[in-house]
Amino acid sequence: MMRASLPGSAMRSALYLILLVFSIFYLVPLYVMLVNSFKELDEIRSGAMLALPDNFTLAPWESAWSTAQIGVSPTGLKPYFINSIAMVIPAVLISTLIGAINGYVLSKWQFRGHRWVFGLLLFSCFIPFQIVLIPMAKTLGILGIAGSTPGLVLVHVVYGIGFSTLFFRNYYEAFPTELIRAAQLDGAGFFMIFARILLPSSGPIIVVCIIWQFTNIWNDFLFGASFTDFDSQPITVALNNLVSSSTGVKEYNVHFAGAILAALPTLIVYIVSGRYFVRGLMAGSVKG
Amino acid sequence: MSFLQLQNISKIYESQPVLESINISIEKGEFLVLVGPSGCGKSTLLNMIAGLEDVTQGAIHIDEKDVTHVAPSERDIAMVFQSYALYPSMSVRENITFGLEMRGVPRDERNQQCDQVAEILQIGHLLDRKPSALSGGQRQRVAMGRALVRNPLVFLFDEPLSNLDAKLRVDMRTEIKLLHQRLKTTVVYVTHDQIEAMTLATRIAVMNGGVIQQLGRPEEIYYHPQNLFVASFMGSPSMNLIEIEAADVNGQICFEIETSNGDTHAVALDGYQCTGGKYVIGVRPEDLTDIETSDQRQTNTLRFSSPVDVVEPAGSDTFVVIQVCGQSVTCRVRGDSKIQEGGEAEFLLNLDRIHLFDQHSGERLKRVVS
Repeated sequence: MMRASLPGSAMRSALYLILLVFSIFYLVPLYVMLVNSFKELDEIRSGAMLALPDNFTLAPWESAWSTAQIGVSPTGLKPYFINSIAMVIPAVLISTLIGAINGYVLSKWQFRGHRWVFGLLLFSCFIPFQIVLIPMAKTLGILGIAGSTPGLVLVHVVYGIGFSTLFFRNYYEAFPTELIRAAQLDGAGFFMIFARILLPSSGPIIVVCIIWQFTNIWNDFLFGASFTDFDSQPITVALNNLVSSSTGVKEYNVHFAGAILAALPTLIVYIVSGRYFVRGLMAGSVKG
Repeated sequence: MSFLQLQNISKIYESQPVLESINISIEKGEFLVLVGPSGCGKSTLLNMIAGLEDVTQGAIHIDEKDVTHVAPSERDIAMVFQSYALYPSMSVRENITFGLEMRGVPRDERNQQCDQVAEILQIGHLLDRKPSALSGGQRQRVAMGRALVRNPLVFLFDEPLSNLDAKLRVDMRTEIKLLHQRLKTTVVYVTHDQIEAMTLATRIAVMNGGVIQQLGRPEEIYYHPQNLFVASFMGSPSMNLIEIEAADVNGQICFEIETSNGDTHAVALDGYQCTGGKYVIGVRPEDLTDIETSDQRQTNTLRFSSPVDVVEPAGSDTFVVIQVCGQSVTCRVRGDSKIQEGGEAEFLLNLDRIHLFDQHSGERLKRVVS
C-alpha cells in the first residue's frame, strides 16, 4: 500500500510546490503594494521595498481616500469611488437583465433568423473599444447624455449585452423545453414563464454574468476617460490622475493605497462569489 | 359531432410532410392510445392537440369547439410529459397549483384542490419537497397530479412511463387505468409500447410514417390487423409472417407449407376472393401450439410435426422456434412443456386464425364468408 501511494504523493508534492511558486509570483506585487501603503514616504525612499513597515501608519490611506490632489481639487478618491458605484450597479443589472431576456428568447422562443441575431450579438464581443469611441460620442451627444453617469451606463450596457446574451443563451439552451411547454399549458405567458420558471433556476449563470460584467465595467478606463466630465469620472480615471500628476513629490504610499482602494470591490466580488463563478461556468457545459 | 375530433390533419415541417391527413374522432371518456415506432409522428400529433405545434392543415375540435388556432392554455387540456417537466425551483405543492394560480384561483381553493389530488395519488407526504428530492415514480405521480388538479376536458400523456423501471411501469400502468375508470376523463396517450396500448386503450391508433395505419378497438387491432405493419407491430412476440405462393382452387385459396424435415402440408382456406399469386400469411404464436397446449374446441386445425430449433422458456409460456417455408416461426406452448431443442414435436396450426395479406400492397385480404 505504501509503495502504491508513493509515486502519487511525490507527484502531489511536486504539484503543490509548483502551485506555491506561482502563488508567490502572483502575490508579491500585491504584497509590495500592501506593505508600502502603510509606510511613510521617507521609509519607502530608503529602499527595502519588501520589508515590513517600521512605523505603521494609516495616513496614506486617509490621504488617498479623502485629501489627495486629483486633477485640480484635493478631494481624494472618495467622490470618484461613489461615481463608479453609481455607474457600475445600474450598468451591471441592466446588461444582465437584458442578456437574460435575450438568452431566453434566442433559446426558447426562436424566430426566423434567430441565428443571425445571435451571431451579430456575439460579434459585438469582438469589436475593440477604440473603434466605437467616435460614433458613441456622437450618439451620446444626440441623446443629450454626453459626459454624464447615465451616458456611461448606456455605453457599458450596450457593450455588455453581447457577453451577457452569450452566457444566458448557452445556459438556457440546456434548459428543458418541456418545462416551458408545461408552463404554457398551465396558462403562464412570456414574462411569467421567464420570471417564475427560468429565473429561479438561473442562479449560477446570474452570478457568472454579474462577476464578469462587474469586473469589466469597474476596471474600464477608456470609456470612463472618454465619455465623462470631472464630476462623473469613475475611479479608474481618478486613480490615473492621482498617480500621474506632474506636480509635487510622488507619494508612492498614497498611490499604492489608492490603487488597492480602486481594486477592492472586484476583489471582494471574487472572494465572496468566486466558487459560484466556476460552478456557473461548468453548469452550462456539463449536462447532468 | 364527437368529443375530440381531428379532421384531415396534416403537418409539414420544413417542407417535409410529418403527418398526412389524420382523421380521428373519439367520444367523451374514451382512452385513445397513439402507438407506433419512434419518428412516426405520434408525439407531433399530441403536441398539435395540445396546441404546442401549429397545424399545417385540418381542424381540431374539442367538445364541439374549434380549437385549431386556440392557445394551449385556452383549450382546457392538461398534459403529462415524458420528462415529467416539473418546475425545479418549486415545491410539489407549487408545481401542482401553478396552473390554478395562473388562472386566478384563490389560494385556499388551490390548496384544497391540491390536497384532494394528493390524496388520490398518495403524495400527501411529498407536498413540501422539491422535485429533485423525489424518486422517478414520485415525480411521475406529481406530474399526473399537476394534470389532474386542473380537471380538464382532455388529458394528454406523452410516453409517461418510458422513464420508469420495468416493475414500476407495470404498476403505474394499472394505476393510470384505475384512474381513468374512476374519473372517466377523455385521454389521449402516446406510447411506443404496444402492451401499454393494448392494456390501456379503448381505442388504438397505430401510426407509421406519419399515417394512421389502423384505428380501432384493441381487439380489432389485435385480431384483425389491416395490414402487415399493424400485424407485425402489435403483439409480443410478434406475429409470424410467412411468404407463400397461393392458388385459387374451386373458390378456395390453397397453398403448401413446408417444414424443415421436408414434409409439405396443403392448406385450403375458405371464403377469400383471390386470384392466386404471392401472399403473406400471418400466424400469431398462440395460434401455433403443441397438442398439450391447444384449445380442444378448435376444429379447423392443421396438425404437423417439425424439428425444433430453439426453446425459449419465459415462465408462464415457452416459445418454440421452428422452420416453416424456410423462415423462423415462433410457437407458443405451455411453460412446463417437455419439448426439447434438436428433437421433433407435433404442432397444431389454428386455420381459423390465419391472417392473409397481399404481399405487394401489404393489405389484409377480406374474408367474404366467415
